Amino acid sequence: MADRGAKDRGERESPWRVHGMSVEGYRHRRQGLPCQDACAYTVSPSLAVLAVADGAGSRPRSDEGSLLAVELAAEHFGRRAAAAADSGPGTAVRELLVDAFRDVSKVFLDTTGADAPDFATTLTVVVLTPGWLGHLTLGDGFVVVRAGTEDGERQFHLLPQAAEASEYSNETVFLTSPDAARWVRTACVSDPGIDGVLLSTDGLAQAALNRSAGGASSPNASFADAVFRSLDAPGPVSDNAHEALAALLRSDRLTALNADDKTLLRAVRKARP
Amino acid sequence: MHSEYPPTLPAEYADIEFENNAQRLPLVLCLDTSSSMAGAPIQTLNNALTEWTRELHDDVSLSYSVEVAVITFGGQGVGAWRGPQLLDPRAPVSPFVPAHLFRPPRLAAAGVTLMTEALELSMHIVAARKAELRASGLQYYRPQICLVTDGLPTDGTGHLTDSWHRLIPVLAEEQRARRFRLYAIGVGGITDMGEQVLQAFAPKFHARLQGFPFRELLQMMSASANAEQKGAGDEVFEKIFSQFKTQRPAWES
Repeated sequence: MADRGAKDRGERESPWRVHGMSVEGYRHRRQGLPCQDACAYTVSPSLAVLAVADGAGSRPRSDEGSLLAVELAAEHFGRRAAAAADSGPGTAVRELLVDAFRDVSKVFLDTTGADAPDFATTLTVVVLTPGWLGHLTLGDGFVVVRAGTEDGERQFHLLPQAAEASEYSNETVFLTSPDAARWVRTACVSDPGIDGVLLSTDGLAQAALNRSAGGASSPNASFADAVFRSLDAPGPVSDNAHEALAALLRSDRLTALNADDKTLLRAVRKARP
Repeated sequence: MHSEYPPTLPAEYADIEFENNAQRLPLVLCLDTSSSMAGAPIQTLNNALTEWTRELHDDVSLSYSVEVAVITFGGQGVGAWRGPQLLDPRAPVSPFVPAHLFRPPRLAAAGVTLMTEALELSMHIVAARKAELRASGLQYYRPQICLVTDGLPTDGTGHLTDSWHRLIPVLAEEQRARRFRLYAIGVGGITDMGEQVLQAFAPKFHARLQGFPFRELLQMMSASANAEQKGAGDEVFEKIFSQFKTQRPAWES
C-alpha cells in the first residue's frame, strides 16, 4: 500500500468516499476465534479498488487468507487498471480483471505454498474508473450499486453473482479451489449514474438481499438506502458513523439472520462542489 | 438472549426492514416411544427436551435458523409432531417449527417399534421441507436427522422384522448425495443386534450409550448444527460425535 501522504491525497482527491469494516460474527466471538472476513481498498483521483473476502470457516488460517487476498487485490487490480485506464468499457475491461485475478491467484498460491488450502477464502473486487465499473467475484460475495431515481425512490441493483456451487448455501468456491478460475464471474458496467457501491461477504446476504420464490436475489432497498445515506454526509467519516456501522453489523437483528462474520465496504460519489 | 451484542439498531439504521430469511437448518428428532421406554426413560427424555428447548431459544445463532420436527415411533405406529401437537397424518401440515417458536411435546411410551417407517417418514419430511424452502426462495443448510432407540425394529404387531433391510441402500444413497446427516443412537438396554441395525443405518455416526443421556445427545445435535452453520468439514462432525460417544453420563461418574 502507498505511503500515508499519498493515501491521504488519494482520499482527498478521489471522487469517491469509501468506508467499511469486517466484524467477527456471534459464533466466532463466542468461541474466541478471529474474524475470518477482511476488506481493503485503495483510492486515487482516477481510480478506486475495493475488495472483500470471506475466509473459509472450516480452515485454520483462513483469517490470514482473506487478509492476504484483499491486500493483493487492491495492489494488482489497481496496477492493471491504472495501466489500462484509457480502455473503454467492455471486453478489454473484463480481460484486465481476469489478468489481475491471475496475478492475485499466483502470488496467493506462491505465498501460501503447500498449505494453501488452510488459507481458503472467497474474493470480490470492484474497480471504479471515470468511464466504467469493473466487477470480479469468486465465491459468494456480492455487490449492490445505487444508480438513478424512480418516482423519487433511489434505485439499487445487484451485480451478477457467481453461480451457486452446491445445494447448501454454506458451501462455496475459494481462491484455493482446484478450478477456481472457472468459477470467476466478471462484469463491466458503464453508467455515470452510479453513485454508490456496496461490497459484502455472504454474512450479510440475508440482511442486504431479498430472495424471490424462484430463488432470484434482489437488493433489500431499505438496507442499501440506509448504509449509503449514512456515508453521503460530506467530509471524513466520523467516529460516530464508524461505531454506528459496527453496531449495525453486530446487532442481534443481523445475528439472528446470520451468525457468520460480516463485512460491509461502501463507496459513495462525493457531491460535486 | 444470551448475547453481548447491542439489542437495538443504531438510530440511523433503525428504519431498515428485514425479512425473516435466515438460512434454515431442518432438524428431525426421530424418537423411540415404544413400551420399553416407559417409566424413567421417557420422563428423562421429556425433561431433556424441555431443557434443550430453553437453550435453543437462548442461542442467537440457532434460534432463527434451526427448524425442529419430532417423529415418534411407539403406540400403534408412527407420529409426526409439530411442537407439542401430534399431527393428523392426513393433514398437509409440515411438522417443522422454527426453533425460537418450538415447544416440546409431552411424550408417553407404549406399543411397538416401527423404526423403519419412522426413518422413512423422517426422510420424507426432510425432502418435503427442502422443496418448500426452495419454493419460497429460502436457503438452507444440510438437514440433520437424529434417530434414538433402545430396541429393535418391529412390525405393527410387535414382532421383530427384517423390513429395515430395505432402508440400507436408500440411506447409503441419500448419505452419498449428502441430502442430510443421520445420527443413529442406541440407549438403555439396547442389544448387540440393535446396535448392528444402527451401524447399518449410519456407518460412521452410530453410537451405543449407557443409560439415557438425552441431555448430552440433544446438546450434541446443537453442536452439530453450529458446525453445519460454520461450514465445517466432515472431520469436525466426526470429532463432535466421537467426543459425544466417549463421554460418560453425569450420573455414572
